[in-house]
Amino acid sequence: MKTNPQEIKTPSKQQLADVTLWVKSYTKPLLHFAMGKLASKETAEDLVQATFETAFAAYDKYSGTGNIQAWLFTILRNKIADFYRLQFRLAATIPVSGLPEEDYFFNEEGHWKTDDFYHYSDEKHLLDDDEFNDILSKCLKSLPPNLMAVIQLKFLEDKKSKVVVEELGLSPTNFWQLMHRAKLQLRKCLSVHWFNESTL
Amino acid sequence: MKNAKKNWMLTCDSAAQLIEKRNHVSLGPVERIQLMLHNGLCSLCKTYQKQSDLLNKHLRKNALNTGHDTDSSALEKRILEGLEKVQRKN
Repeated sequence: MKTNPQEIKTPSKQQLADVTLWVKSYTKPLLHFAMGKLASKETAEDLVQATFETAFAAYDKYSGTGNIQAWLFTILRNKIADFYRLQFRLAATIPVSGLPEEDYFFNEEGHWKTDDFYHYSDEKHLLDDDEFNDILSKCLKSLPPNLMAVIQLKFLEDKKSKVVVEELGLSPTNFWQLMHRAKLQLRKCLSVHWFNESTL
Repeated sequence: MKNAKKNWMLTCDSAAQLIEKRNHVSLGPVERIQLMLHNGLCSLCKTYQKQSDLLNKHLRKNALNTGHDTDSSALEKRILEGLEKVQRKN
């Protein structure tokens, strides 16, 4: 999706009219999708705007080749993935303070610290529960940026872990250990905010 | 024998690691048996495995900002103004 600016032809008035129609038709679904994947509304809006800029610049290359909506979503997904790869690289250069160590979750014998461990039963119900999603969303936002980035890159297109590992330049073991840490933190956060309030 | 016992019985933190690892790489036969044995005895890890699988399902969907208001009219206006600027420049 990378275009050399010098190769871009001047978009015509007709092209502008077409793209205007795309903006009116697809901004809402694109923004909805982006906000599902990004913590900040501003970032989501910026990436949707950048998506249309890319589409406008590449109009000659892609128009008429098929499903415009699918093409726009592909551009947006790439932009979100780029964003998280950058986040991950930036986070790697800044030491993260206050990151809970393993013994935050396990005692010295390797057993769960059970004070926060709640069982729940109604899983199927949870999947559609707005309140649960709301709490999960808050818990995700509380993750350190590098953990948020691995989670989102893994689930953005439900990519094979191998692909994400290569994109981030990590070893497979490093990658799933980061995922593991992210999941432990999410579970802890969910336990505190949700599981202990359910009637079980 | 003592060592063998130690190797076969996982602690919860090792079991929890395998629970995540199996999402990304296939576990070896020893790891699979270790995890099965552990989960058979440990209700917390069994629960954790369920919670972890449930999280995967949720994370595959759009998990952030659900139920938000996606009023996109202001953004549409901003994007169109930006595109017109690009057009005029050319």
